[in-house]
Amino acid sequence: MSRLQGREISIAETIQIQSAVIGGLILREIYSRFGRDNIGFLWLIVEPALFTTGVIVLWSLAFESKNHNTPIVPFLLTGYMPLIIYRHVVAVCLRCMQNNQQLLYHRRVTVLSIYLSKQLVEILGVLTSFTFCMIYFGILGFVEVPKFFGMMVGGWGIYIWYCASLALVVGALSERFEIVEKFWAPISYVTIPTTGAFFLVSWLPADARELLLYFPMVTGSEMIRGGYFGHDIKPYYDVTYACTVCFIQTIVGLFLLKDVRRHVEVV
Amino acid sequence: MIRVVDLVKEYHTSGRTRRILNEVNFTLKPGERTAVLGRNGAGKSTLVRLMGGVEYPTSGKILREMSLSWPLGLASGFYGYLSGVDTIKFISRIYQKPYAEVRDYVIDFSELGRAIYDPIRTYSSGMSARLAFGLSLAIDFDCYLIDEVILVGDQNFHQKCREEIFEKRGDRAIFLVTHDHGIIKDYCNKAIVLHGGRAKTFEDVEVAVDIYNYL
Repeated sequence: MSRLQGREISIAETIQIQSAVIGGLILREIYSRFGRDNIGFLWLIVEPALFTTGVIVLWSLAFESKNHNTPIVPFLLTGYMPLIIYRHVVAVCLRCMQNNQQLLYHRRVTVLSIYLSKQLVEILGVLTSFTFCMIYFGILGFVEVPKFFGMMVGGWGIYIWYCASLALVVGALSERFEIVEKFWAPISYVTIPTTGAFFLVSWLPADARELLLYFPMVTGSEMIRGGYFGHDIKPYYDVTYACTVCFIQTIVGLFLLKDVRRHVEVV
Repeated sequence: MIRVVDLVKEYHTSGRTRRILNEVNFTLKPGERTAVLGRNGAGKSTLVRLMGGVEYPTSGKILREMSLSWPLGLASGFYGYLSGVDTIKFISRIYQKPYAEVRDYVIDFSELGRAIYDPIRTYSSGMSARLAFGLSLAIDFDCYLIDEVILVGDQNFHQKCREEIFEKRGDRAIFLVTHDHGIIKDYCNKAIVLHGGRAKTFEDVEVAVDIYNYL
């Protein structure tokens, strides 16, 4: 075996090393969270599916098969799955450095690589679950092929970008101020209306529409729905604004993360 | 080469600042076996953790021009709920070494047998020490950071460590925290004495041991 070199490394090499690190961290996360027994990492996919199916059953009892003339199953799949990303992606980043200090023994493992790997596990789990559920409910006849596939993918992209960059900011702050972790649960609950999960903007009065578009997740979920339902609904979205917010949030998050190591006292 | 320049480390506990290391300077050349001596609380483990990059200095710099192992001590950065093999898989992935080779070497070196499939939290300190040592040898660093408390194993394990580190890998640098004068005199060719936050380097280990005993 060749010896590990200690020298200046290029950016290309850094990217290559960091992808290996993130790959390793993802596997480690999956093994340590789900173990090697029973269905193991499949829980990652099954869990969101169970959640969503439960909500679908509840809504079906309350509204029968249509709400505002929109079929419930695809409406909830396109609303609840993104909501799970919003709640989980931020939650896994809360104080994750404080709780994973043993990783700091390896200089190659950076704060950003830990955050990204935690987020990727959640995101990939939910996206896989979403795909399986669409196919499964499609076979059962509750779901059709999305009308505008590109718009749906774009919506997911904006939604995920917003959640991931928000997680960087909230996570980095939680490493510094313990209180952030305590407040996140109520905040994530109260802010559910800003995710657009349980309504279409077109159902609401005009001034509420304008207000809601200040929340990038609404743009994301409207585009996911617009992509699925096509001309059956009228989606409201503002891509430029949403991307600007995400971009600024990413920069702020990275900036805050840069300083996190100094606030983690390894015991 | 590793250059430690004006290294300062302070801890803030219950409203006061304690300076553990105060402008520490030294270099570590390839192949040098350096013993670190100092009374309890002199900052030996802190120094090792700073060099390994586990903690960041308050000020000063550590310039690493050779690869350094992670600090091998009682806390070796393992995650208790991960099994031995999963840890091997993780470590070989992040250091980009072929998993099968690393695994075979570690299983052979550590003599953990079937326990390699159990979560690390079920291991004794001797067992984790063997796993940590085996792993760091398999990754193959230019310089090893070792806290002697890791040598908790039996005579057989001691012998094995000496062979693998001091004999087979004669060209590696070692930075060893130890109180064992036998190991220092037999294997080290340089010593650093930590006292009152300052570090003094001695080319003659016998002199360093004498001064340490006098402290």
